[in-house]
Amino acid sequence: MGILDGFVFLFSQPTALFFVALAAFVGVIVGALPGLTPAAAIAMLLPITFYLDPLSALVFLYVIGKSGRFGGSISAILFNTPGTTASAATMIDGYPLAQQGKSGKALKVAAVASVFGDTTGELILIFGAAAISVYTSRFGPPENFSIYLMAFVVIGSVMGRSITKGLLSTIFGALISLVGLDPMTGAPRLTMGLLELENGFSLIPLLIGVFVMSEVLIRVESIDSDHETQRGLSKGSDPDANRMTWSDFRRCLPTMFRSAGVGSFIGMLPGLGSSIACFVAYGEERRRARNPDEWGKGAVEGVAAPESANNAVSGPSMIPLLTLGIPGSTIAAILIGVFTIHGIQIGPQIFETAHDLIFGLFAAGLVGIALYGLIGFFGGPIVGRLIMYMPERIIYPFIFITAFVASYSARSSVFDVAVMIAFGFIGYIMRRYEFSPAAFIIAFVLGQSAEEAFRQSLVLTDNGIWIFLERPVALSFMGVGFAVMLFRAVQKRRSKDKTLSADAQ
Amino acid sequence: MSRINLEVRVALVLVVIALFFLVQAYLSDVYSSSTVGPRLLPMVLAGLGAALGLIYGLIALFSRPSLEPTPNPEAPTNGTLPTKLVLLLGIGFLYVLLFEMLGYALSTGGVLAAVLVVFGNRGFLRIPAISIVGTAIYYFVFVQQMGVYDPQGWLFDVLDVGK
Repeated sequence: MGILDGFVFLFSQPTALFFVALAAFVGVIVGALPGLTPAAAIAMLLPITFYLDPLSALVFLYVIGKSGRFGGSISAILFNTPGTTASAATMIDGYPLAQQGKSGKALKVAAVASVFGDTTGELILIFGAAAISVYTSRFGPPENFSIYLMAFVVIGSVMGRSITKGLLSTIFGALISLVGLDPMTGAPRLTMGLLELENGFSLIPLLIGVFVMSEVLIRVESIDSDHETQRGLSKGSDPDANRMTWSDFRRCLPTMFRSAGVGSFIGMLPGLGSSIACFVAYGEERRRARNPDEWGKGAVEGVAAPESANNAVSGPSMIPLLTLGIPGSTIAAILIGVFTIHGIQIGPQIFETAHDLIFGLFAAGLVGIALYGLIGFFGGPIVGRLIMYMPERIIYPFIFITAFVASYSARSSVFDVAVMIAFGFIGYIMRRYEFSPAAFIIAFVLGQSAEEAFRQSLVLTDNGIWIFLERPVALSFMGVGFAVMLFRAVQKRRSKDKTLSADAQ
Repeated sequence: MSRINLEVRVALVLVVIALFFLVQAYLSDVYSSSTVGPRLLPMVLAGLGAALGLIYGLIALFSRPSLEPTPNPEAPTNGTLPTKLVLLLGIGFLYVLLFEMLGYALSTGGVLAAVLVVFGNRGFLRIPAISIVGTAIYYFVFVQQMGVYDPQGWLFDVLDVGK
C-alpha cells in the first residue's frame, strides 16, 4: 500500500524527519506573523532546499504551508489580526473568546479543528490523487493544452476581485514565462537584446519579488501607523475557562466534519484557496447553527468551522498538481519549482516514476499535521507571546535582506537580484490595484508547458486549432473553464447590482 | 485623483506594455518556416493582453462608482508613491551596485543599517549592533553553510583585509 511505503521511506531518512519537525515549528511562527504569508516564507526558503535531498526539500516546504495555515489563527485569536487571509474568519469568534479570557480554549479548538480538517484533506489526497492519475496519465498534448487553458481561465476568473484583472494577471504571467530562447528552435524571444534574459526569468527571484518584496514595500508604508504597540495578549488567567472540554469537542465535531468537506472540495478546484474556504464554511455553519445569536460573540463552533475548512484545503489543492500537472494554489506552484530543481517531472506519471518520494511526502504531511497540532494545542499562547515580542521594525529589514540574499543565492547572479526588486515593485502595484499576484505566478509556472503542449498538438494535425474541438476530453476541459468564467461573471454582476441598489437606498 | 481616473491610467499602462511585448514578439529573429513558430503564442498573448487592457479601461471609464469606499485595505487612495517606498526601492538598487563594488560584508551591513532606519529604528549603538550581528548570521548561513559564491568587491572588500 502506497502510504505505508511512504512512511517506511520517510522514517528511513532522519534528515527528512528533522525537516518535517522544523517546518512544523517554522510554519506556525511564520503563519502567526501578520503580513508574512506561508507562500512568502516558502519563496524565501526555496534556495535553501537546493542543498537538500528531494524528500527533505519537498517536506520542508509542504509542511510549512500546512502549519502556516494554522499559525495564522494564533494572531487572529490573540491580537485580532489574521496572520494569513485564511484565518480572517477565525477572528470573528476567536477574538471575542480571547476577550472573555478564553484565549487558551480558542487556541485549542483551532488546533484540534485544523488537525481534523487537514487530516481529512490529506486522506482525500492520498487515496484520490493516485486513482485519478491512472486516468489522466493517458492524456495527450491536446488534452494537456486544454487543461492548461482551463487552468488559466479558471485561475484568472476566480483569484481576485475582478475577472478582467485576474485574466490580465494570468496573461502577463504567461507572457513573461515565454521570455528567453525558444525551447524548440533556440530563437531568442522578448529578450530586448539582453543576454541575461536568454535563459528567461528565473522562478526564485520572481517569487521572492512578487510575494516577499511587495509585502515589505506595503509594510514600510504602514509601519508608523501599525498596531505594533497595541498588540497584547488578552486576559486568560482562569485555567478552567481555557480548557477544551469533551463537551466543546462534541459540539464542534459535526461542524469540523462538514467544514472539512467544504474545504476539501474548494481545495480541489484550482485557484480557490483557504481564504475562500474559511468564509464559505463559517457562513454555512452559522446559517445551520442552533445558536446563531452566539456566533460573532465567541462561539467555539465559529472557530472550529473556518479552521477546519482552511486547513482541509491543503491536501486536495495538491490533487490538480499531481494528477494534471497544474498547481491549484500558490504553494503548489512553488513546489513545482522544487520538483523541477531536483529533476522530477511533475504530472500523473509521478506516481510511477517517483512513487516512494510522493508517498513519503504524503506521510510527511500526516506527521507534520500531528506535530503542528501538538505545538498549537500546548504551545499556542507561547507562540503568541513570542510574536508579541518580535517588533516588525526589526523583522521586516531582515526579511528585506533575506529576499536579496535568497535571490542571489539561487544562481549567484546579481541580475536576479535586480529582477527581484523590479518584480517586487510590480507585485506591489498589482496588490495596490487589486490584480492577482498568485494568478500571475501560477501562469508564469505553467506558461512554457502550455506552449509546448500547444505546439505539439498542432504538429499532430493538419486541421490547426480544430484539434482542440475534435477531441471530447479537450473540449470538455475548455468548456469547464469558460463555464466557470461565465458563472463568476454572472455572480459578480448580481453582487454589484445588489451593492448599487443598497447604495441608492 | 479619483479612483476611476487611476484605473483608466493603469489600463493605459497595461495596453502600452502589451503592445510593447507585441512588437518585441513580432521583431523576434525567427528562422522557423512553420506557422506554429516561436513568436505565435507571445503575439497571441500580447494581443489578448492589449485587448483585455482596453476592455478594462473602458469598464473603468464607464462604470458607476459605488458610494461606499473600497473595502480593500491595500487599495490606492491616490496616485503617488509614498516616500519611504521610493527610498526602500532606491536602497534596493543601490545594494545591487554596492554588492559588486564593496563585496558582501560591507554592502549588506550598510544596507541593513539603512533599511533599519527607514523602518523607524533609532539608536547609535542599536543599529550598528543589529547590522553587524545580522550580516554575520547571513554570512554564516549562506556563504559558510550553503556555499553561496561571495563576490569579491572590485573597489574594496572588508573580507580581504588581513589576507
